[in-house]
Amino acid sequence: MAQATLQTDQSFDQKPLTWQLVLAPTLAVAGVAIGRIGITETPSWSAVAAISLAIAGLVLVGMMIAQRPRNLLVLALGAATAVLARYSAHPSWESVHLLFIVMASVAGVAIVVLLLPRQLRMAVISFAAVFHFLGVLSAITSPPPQSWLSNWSWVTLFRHHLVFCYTNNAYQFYSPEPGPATLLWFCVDMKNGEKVWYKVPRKPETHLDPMSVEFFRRLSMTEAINQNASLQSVPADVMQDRLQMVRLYPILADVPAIAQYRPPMQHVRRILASYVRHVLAMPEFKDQATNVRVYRVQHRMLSAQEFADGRNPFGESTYLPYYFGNFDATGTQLEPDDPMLYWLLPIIRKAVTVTPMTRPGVEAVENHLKVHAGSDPFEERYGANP
Amino acid sequence: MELDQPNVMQRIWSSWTRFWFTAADPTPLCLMRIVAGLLTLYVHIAYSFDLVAFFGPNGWYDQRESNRVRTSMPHVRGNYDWKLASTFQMPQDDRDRQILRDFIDRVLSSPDPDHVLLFMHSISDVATGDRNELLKYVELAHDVGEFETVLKAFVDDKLTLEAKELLPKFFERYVTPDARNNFADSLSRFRAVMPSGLEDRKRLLGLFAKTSEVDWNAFQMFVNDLRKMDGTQRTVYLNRFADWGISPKFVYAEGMPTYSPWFHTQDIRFLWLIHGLHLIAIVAFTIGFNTRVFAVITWLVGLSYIHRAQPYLFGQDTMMNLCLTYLMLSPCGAKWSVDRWLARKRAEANGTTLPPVQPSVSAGFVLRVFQIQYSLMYLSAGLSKLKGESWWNGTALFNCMANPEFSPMHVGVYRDFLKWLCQHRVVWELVCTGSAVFTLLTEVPFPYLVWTKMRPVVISAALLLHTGIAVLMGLSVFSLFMFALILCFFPPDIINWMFGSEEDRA
Repeated sequence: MAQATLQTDQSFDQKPLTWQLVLAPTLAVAGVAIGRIGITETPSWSAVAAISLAIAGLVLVGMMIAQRPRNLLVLALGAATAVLARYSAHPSWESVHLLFIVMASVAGVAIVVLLLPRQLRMAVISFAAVFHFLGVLSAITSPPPQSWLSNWSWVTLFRHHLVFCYTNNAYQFYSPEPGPATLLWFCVDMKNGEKVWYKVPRKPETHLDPMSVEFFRRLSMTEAINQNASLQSVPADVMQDRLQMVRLYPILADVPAIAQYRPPMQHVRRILASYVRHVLAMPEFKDQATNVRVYRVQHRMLSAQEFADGRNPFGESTYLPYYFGNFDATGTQLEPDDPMLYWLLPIIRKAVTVTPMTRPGVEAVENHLKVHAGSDPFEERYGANP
Repeated sequence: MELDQPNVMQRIWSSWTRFWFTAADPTPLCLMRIVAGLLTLYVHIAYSFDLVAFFGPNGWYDQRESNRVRTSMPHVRGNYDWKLASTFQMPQDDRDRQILRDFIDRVLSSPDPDHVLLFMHSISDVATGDRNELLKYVELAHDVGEFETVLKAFVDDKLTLEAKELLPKFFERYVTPDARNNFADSLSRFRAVMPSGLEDRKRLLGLFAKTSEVDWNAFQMFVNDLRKMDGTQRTVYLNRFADWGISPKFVYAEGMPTYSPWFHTQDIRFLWLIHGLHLIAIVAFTIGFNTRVFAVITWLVGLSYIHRAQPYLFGQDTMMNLCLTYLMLSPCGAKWSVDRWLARKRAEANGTTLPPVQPSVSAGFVLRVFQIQYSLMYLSAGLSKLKGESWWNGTALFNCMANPEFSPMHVGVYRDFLKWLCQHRVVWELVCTGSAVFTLLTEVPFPYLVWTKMRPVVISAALLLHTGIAVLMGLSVFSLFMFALILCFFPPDIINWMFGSEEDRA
């Protein structure tokens, strides 16, 4: 059996470190000096120079630690350089301060661990492993229904570690049910009276990279909007207002009303406002658009029966658009009392007589989204961009 | 002799240290470095297409919003007792919230807030029908003069029979002159703090009407808490409440301990400069140049995008981060690296030969960490699927295959295959149910079987599962990261046999 010891793994040349020992803190001190002398309210080039010097010092000291991981002096120098780096960073860069504090703390803890006897050192490392995996367990058990213990331990004990290291995932992929994808469609009203559709994600973006990473990022982005306020039923006043619009936009009889009304959670509204600000700041819309109507669209999957019948999975009636509001360029909701807000605008498939001339996949629909937006979203599929 | 026998604790400790601290060949970790490094490089090169749109100050998820979440996201911790099971919930609708806030301000600035609150408390325990009828009466009382006249007539018991019938049933509870007087006074004060507009009044009282008795009392407590604050504090408190929908009183901590230069970078030139430096660091890690240092830097690079880009993340980022986090702790540059090549050159220059890579405790420890992590992931993924109906009725896989945004539905052959499958029900059932069972049988028992002689079988099943995910759902980078992670279970001999030099194999 191999000896259970904690030893260094790589044998590096053990050259003297004199110049590095001096240079690393010097760089960091220079960083602090430049950072403090040239300090301005908003970060300037001097702030960049300051932090660059400090990071150079940190990289240098990191190389020394890699060569001599058990050398307490080098580790102490690492901690000190990280502390200096923290003070070299501009005061407004708080998240960067956090990084340097974490670095200094890790070096400090490493010194303490190295000072311990071998058995105790193994006990401390074992404790760290157990702590980490208990944290992972608290993250795994955090999605609802959540136990008191999961919530308590996550918030009190593990939050900092898990969030900083991003080991906070519950790994509950495609569960409990694999659901339909969420899309976002923006109907931009231009100053010249035109209406332009901008859709996210758009299939051509798959070609941004061969493995579609950026396409899936956009799908995640739209999925972030798919978090609804929990309602048992549609509030009476909301339903009353909606019923006044029923002639123009019908309520589907075969779908529960609560499934046709999807108000988002509060934080989702702010994320959406951010998306709106981004869209209206795009070169093709900036200073040329007046407002934008946003639709969160669920792209439902066809059933096996529908597939067997040869239905088109991209057919217009497979899209379920929910109206999410009319916004200006600042992301402000312009018509918060619109009775159609957060309601489904059904695209209803109509029976069509199939003839030899009927093009496959084309379906006749009653498109209430088109009526609502005043423009056909399927006419110009990919919006303003190629 | 008995004294030499280790006791139970010693035996447990010995087993524990044997599990975690046995030296192991770092070969799997070195291969993981290369695979994960290449994939990480790919992921970050792909970011280049969207760098400004994702990480710029005015990106999709802009700096304003991401910094707000970073600094103020509330965390609520469970109570230590059974009290306060229900807390007051701010309405979801912006306008409702504003109306409620205005109402609270009017109550707190009225001459006698207690009176209004006591009145509200007094009507909390009545049957919902009675209370709501009373609220409706207040809602419709647009003409204050007329409202006061009716109340005065009620106090003086001079209402006509017809007028009495128009009053809510609640009025009937007050029979004596004193009771009538107190009730009328309270109702009048309550009416005085109502919004003047009918629409706003309707919305506010509609909110009250929907409030359960428990929530109604929680609202009283909430207003009482606000009374202890001055105007500025109250505004800050209400803004925080409105922002997150959680009463600050119950917030245990705020903010997310996250780091990223993208939280602060305003200048697009710096954005590109930092991104370029990040790519260089990832290349250095992948080729194993100063691996220990660049492993840490690459991990921080990965985190910097992840922390800033929360809405753009998906499973692939989680797996990438796991690879980078644990590899950083390991001697993953021990072989197949520039470090190793430089060490060999130095040894040759000194007239010596570089000894072969030795097993190390840290390699063994990190391999164990990877293995436990992988097992936990599968356990969680498998058990959570058992909650879903579609995993029991066998339709889950079809729901993945038929998702037009994820699957390669735009490929004609794939669509034809799906159509053919759906037209043959028995084959469809066999394929879909079989795949759902295969997924569950791979994920749920994985953490138990992977430590047994079944390891090659469950690892083969896992490889097949992720190949399916890559093909059917298009999540190829995610699957490749899973392949990188699963290398932790591979014997070094096999890896050396497949990728190693003669020296490695020897």
